[in-house]
Amino acid sequence: MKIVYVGKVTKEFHLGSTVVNALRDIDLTVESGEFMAIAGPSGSGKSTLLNIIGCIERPTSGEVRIDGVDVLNLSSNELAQVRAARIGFIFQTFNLLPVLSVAENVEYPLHLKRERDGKAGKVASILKEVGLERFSRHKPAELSGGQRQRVAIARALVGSPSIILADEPTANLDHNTGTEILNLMKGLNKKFGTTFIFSTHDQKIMALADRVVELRDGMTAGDRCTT
Amino acid sequence: MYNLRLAFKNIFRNRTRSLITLGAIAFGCISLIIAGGFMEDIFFKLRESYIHSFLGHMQVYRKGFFEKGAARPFDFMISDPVAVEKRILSVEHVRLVAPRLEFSGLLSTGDTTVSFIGQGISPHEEKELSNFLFISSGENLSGGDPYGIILGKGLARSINAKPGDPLVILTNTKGGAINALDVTVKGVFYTASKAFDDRAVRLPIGTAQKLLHTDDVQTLVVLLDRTDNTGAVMKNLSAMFKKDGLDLEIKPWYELADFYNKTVALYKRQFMVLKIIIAIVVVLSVFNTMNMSVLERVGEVGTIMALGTKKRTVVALFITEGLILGAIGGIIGLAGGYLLASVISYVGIPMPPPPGSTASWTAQVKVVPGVFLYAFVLAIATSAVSSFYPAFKASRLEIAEALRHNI
Repeated sequence: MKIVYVGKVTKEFHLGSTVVNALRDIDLTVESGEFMAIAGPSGSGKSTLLNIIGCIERPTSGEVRIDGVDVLNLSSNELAQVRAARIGFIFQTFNLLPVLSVAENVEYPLHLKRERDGKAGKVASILKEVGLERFSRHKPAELSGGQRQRVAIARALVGSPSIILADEPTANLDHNTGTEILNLMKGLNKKFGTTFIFSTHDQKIMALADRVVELRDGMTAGDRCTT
Repeated sequence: MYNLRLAFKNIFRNRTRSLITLGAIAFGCISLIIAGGFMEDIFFKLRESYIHSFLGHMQVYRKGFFEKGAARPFDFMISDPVAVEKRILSVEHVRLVAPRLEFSGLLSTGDTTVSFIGQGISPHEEKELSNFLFISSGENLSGGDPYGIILGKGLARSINAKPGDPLVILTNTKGGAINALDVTVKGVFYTASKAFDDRAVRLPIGTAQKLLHTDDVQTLVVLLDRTDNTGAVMKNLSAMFKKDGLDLEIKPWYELADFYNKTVALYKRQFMVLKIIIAIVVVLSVFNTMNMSVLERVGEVGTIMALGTKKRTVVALFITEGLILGAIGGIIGLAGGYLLASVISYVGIPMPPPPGSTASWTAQVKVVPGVFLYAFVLAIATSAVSSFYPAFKASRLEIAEALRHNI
């Protein structure tokens, strides 16, 4: 089942009088349950493509469907609903809310989905999955980088989204921790069948993906399956 | 509930800044409570001073006296005043009724003669009605001495009269003839009104009636148990006069106390300026805090919006933070205001005599629920209003751009 469809997408940025083409005619289809990497050097358009798939940015032209929904015609409120219900995010700098505890951070997407019952149970269960059940009352500042990214993974996963988007999730971690995080994501992908799309420019991390789509200068430069 | 918890936690992430903001809000509330309570105390004391000095809570006249009585004082007299007094006393909340008969004339020591305004009064009733009339020398009127009079301080000074001095009163009778009476100065008094003290003479009403050749009076001054009952008693009295076919009218104290009304209007205008200044201080303080908070949390706002938080929820989050700041600052302000008001009231503020008065007094800070409520509402409303722009600004952030800021 197609979970993401990106057709002929272009994205232009205007920097003063200069027009920068971040994406040019990108076509991409992602099937449900894939564990996919978007690779490419800095400035190749990885983050922009992830932002467009994540309904954070609108393309200049083209077509984008997420889980069958044409997202380009949605209002900003409707896009927020799509993000809350169908998409989980993992960020390079973890982006946990510093005033909230680990458990409260993980609970946030459930609050957005207006779930009333069983929130504590879901949070505890997902924290166990990422190996942080003992840290639920800790504040993010009391955790290491790898632990923080695990919290971010738990937060992305707790609302059972269709897709999890991770923009350079290992860029701020050492190689071993980065590999651990990727392996954790892969394990969760297998266990829950959640689609993971992550961006990276690290060849070793890229090797862990089932499929790698390579971008160069805003265009698709390769699309290969590694399994 | 989750948003409230988040807002609460966000407020205290920068404790020093939040404490300074709370201090500004609390200071605003305390200022309002002290200034408002001080003003209310002045209003209360001035009002009671006027009521108990001479106005009473209301005055009953023959219809037309209030309009034309100054020119023709004897054309609008209340006949059979004793019967009317009894009827008024039968109404609930009425404590006493004091008849008055006013006239003007000349007062002579033999060497010096001055004009005066005379008040024929019932000494027994006026003792209770004139709580704010103080005897500075000699003694007050009593029922036992029909030819003893008391003089206002200013008037006594102007003719150099002292207790025990003989004087002659010269006046026109009701019928227009001239009549004179030998009297003795029994005492000298002063009230809150210097103008009154400069011209007033008080003598027993029986003596005044004899001097003016009449059994009638012009005014029945009514004193109640509480000032708050003025409206209700007026209504009952009007109904009773109508039912009994009495040709009488009633004027409440607030229509008679012109100086009081003008003082209240002046103070209220000054208080309004203070309210505006305090509102501006609170608005600027909370605005600064919320604006700084938004600037520091750009990445965080981007994150929660990326996770699916709607713009209006972001606005609500920041306004809730402002409201919580206002509420906490307001509560601290109310507690501080109450404490300070109690201490100031216990110690007392020595005040000089008000304009037109000779008596100094001690002011307090009245604890008025209305002022407290106003201060609290002002703290919350200004905090919410000043949070609005920063909140709106936060909600307009571009998510992708905001995410580039580190948390």
